[in-house]
Amino acid sequence: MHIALQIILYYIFPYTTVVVFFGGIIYKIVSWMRTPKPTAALTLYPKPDGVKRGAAMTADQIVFPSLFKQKVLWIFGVMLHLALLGIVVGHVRIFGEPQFFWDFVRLNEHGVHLFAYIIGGAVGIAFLISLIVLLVRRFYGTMRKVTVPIDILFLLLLIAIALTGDYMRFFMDINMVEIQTYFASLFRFSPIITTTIQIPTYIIHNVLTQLLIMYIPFSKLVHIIGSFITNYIVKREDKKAKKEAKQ
Amino acid sequence: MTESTEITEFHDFIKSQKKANRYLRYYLENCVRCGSCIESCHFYQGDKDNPLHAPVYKNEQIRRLLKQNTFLGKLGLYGKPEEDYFDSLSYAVFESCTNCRRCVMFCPFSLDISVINTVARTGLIKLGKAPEMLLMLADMQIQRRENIAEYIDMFKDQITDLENEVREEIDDKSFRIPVAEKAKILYVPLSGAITMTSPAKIFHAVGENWTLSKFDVVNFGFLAGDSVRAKKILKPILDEAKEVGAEKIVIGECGHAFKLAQKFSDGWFGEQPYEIELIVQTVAKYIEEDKLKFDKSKNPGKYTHHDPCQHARNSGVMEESRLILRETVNDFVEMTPNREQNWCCGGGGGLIAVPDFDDTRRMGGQMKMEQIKETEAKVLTTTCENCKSQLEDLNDHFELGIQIEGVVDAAARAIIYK
Repeated sequence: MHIALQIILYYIFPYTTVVVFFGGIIYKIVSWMRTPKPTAALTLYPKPDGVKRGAAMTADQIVFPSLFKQKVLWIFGVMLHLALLGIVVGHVRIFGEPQFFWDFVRLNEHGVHLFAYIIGGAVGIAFLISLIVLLVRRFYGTMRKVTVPIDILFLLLLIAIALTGDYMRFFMDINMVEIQTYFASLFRFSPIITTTIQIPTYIIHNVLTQLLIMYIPFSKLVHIIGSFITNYIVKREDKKAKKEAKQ
Repeated sequence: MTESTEITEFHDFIKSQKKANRYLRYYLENCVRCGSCIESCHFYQGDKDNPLHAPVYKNEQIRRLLKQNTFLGKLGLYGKPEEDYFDSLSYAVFESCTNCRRCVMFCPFSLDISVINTVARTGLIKLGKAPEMLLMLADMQIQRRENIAEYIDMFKDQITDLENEVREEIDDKSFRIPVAEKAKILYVPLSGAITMTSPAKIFHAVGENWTLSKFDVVNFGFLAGDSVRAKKILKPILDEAKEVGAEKIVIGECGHAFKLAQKFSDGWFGEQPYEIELIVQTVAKYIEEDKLKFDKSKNPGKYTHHDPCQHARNSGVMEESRLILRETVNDFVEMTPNREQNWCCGGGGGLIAVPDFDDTRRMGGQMKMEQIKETEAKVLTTTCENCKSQLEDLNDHFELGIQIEGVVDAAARAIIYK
């Protein structure tokens, strides 16, 4: 590989991603907070209180009760997000082997490999299936009118990432230690370019994921943080009602 | 003005609103167009062929317009708004949306679609593209409020007539309807006589220290989405409460007026010392305190109750109506779904006041009608004037053969006077 391309791909690109993502999130939150609040904010009733409210707000983020009437959207929406959670947790491995966890579940090196193959594989497949269903759904009925090209692009991007990831999981023998070496070297600001990270499939997987991560703060994917705020807004306590209750 | 300069002006207005309203930013930036809200809209249920009936597509008109000038927007990645922009938008936000906020419940992020619609309404008003009817009605209200001195004598005469009628009806000469006198409770009625007599009977039976407001509680400015007019219409009521020395403002059976008074007064005019209550809540309190006795036989037949959106999911008044109905009628059945999940009647948000919207409004009432038919009830109660008018219109137009009345009216009829 040409040295200039290597520098861009393995030196500049990852740091850019980190800066753009965290910078973007901070920029987004600060710019939200700097925008004045409206005079009146409406909420929804009935309002559960105390522990129940906490439970309802947590449920909003995990099991999406609002989608329950739309069965396809609900099942595959939950599946997509849970799979995504599994994928993010699984990828922690690239930053170093969580040995304490493997010791805790008493897995040896072969066991770890099998565990990653089965669980990682299942989650990867679930992710891919839910993405495909959600993509197909966008082409029917009113959803077709509602959908804009960027929605399709996001889904295609995610599908490409899922496909390359699943391909590496099932059909290639990826040397995890080499990937770990590269990521560890990134933290020392002196990247070591190993053989594994030069495999084309890996490069595609890596670059597309970084593009996605960079675009999160500036697109609808900002709902990763926004949904916590907006769900809180309609469920929060009523100031006026609170005042009256005190009297 | 040409269409394109108007669109630019509208675009800039929305952008300025976005800079001034944090929640509007959340709502515009977080939507993923999952489409969960689509089926939740009664207009969509009435006619699934028009995408403008889908809440998300209404909002998309604003979102797509804002994205047009961005880099990715120019590449067409964020889609294009509808061709005849203002006609479509006006249909989407004025004619086929009642701001009932049912869709908010079905949004995984609880994005408030009504907030975006209201901003769009304000922008259309600025460009003179709003239905004139609503603004005309609002201006009439403002005119009456500003010149209340000219109208007050006529109003008092009308109230005296009503007073005499009720005196005869309940056979009690001590019955009074005080107008704008010193009192603990200021009751703000609607324009219909029954919205004054029914609560008056209840206040009389309880022996409450109350007075009737000179004004009506309806706010066409708010219905149109015009906060300038809405403020001019709401303020006189708060001033009057101060004048009569009221501790509590009780709002008549009206949907938007209650929400407006309760949620917006503090933000618009500084913190208000008054407790603001819906008449149903007041009556429910009297019943809990055992101050009222009822004769259920005065209300024969099967009853069902329609939860107005602005009272149920938007203000949390749900159980109070049921408490009153349990005490005052014999046979009561619930509709399904009910309470916060209830379907909107289809006439709110000012729709009922605009004759041009009749067809759309009746189409939006389909779900409600099916719900009513399923209960096989003969009498339908509700606590919102907008709902009542819409339901009465549906009743006449589709010959449902039911009777529609307010919860408080049913209660007032069944009172046993001591």
